[in-house]
Amino acid sequence: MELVERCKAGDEVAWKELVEVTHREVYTLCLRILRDPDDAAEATQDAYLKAWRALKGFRGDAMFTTWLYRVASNTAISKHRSRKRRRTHETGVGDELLGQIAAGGSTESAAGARIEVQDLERALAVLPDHYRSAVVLRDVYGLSIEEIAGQLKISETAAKVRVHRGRKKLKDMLYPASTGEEV
Amino acid sequence: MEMTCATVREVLPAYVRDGDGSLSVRRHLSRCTECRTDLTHYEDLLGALSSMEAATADPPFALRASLIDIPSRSSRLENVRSHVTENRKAYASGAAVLVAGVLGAAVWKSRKPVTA
Repeated sequence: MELVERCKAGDEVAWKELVEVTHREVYTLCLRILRDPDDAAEATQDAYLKAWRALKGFRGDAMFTTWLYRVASNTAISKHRSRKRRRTHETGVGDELLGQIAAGGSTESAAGARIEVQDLERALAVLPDHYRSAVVLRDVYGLSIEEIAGQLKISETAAKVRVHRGRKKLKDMLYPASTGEEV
Repeated sequence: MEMTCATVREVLPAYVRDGDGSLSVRRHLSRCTECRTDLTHYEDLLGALSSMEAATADPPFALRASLIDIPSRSSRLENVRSHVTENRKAYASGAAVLVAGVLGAAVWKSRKPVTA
């Protein structure tokens, strides 16, 4: 928090430190929403510019990273909405993206089951855009349904439906045997 | 009324995290191994999703430097903006003189020489 206070006072050294510790996460968030490295870099730039300008208004009632994620996801979603639709995940860009995201190995749940991070990234890559944004914001970055609804400009009910359908599609892709459905 | 597996599986994506589950869902889960397995899959999925925040991509090389430079760029832009605001009248007069000059030159060029 001290770092944020120094940034608010215009300390550029503190800003540099803040960028160092957050920019990978923010870039990855934008990349997960936009699926395009150039667009993600552009959205990251815009998000930090907005954050710098709005920093004085940051009251500290949320964690700084949560606030920054909110600014970044809002920027990425606006960009996604305004750009011409490009079908990237069907042309192998998804795999290119997977190569960029550090292989985190597998994650082990409380139940002891393992899901390979790369399998999950691959499943996310083929999830339709409207489900992917909702699931990523809710389940990866912890935004509330209310915030997601606001950012996607949809009702809270619609946001819930997108999150739940997205989860179901991901689960069906990762555990096809349990549903008997083809992936 | 006893819920069917199909009905329970429809509500599991909400039940797993957001707590949208009735007593009859919990009752069904306590008796049905297959639906409990399905719930475990959702729990694994959510655990894996929440761990993804830590798995980051490498940003383009120039991005970091460009982000660090934002305060300087922003203040340069502010300086230009305030300079223009402070000298608005001078810039407006200059622009008016320039436009008048361009228009005058255009009129002068369009005049055809009078031939005898």
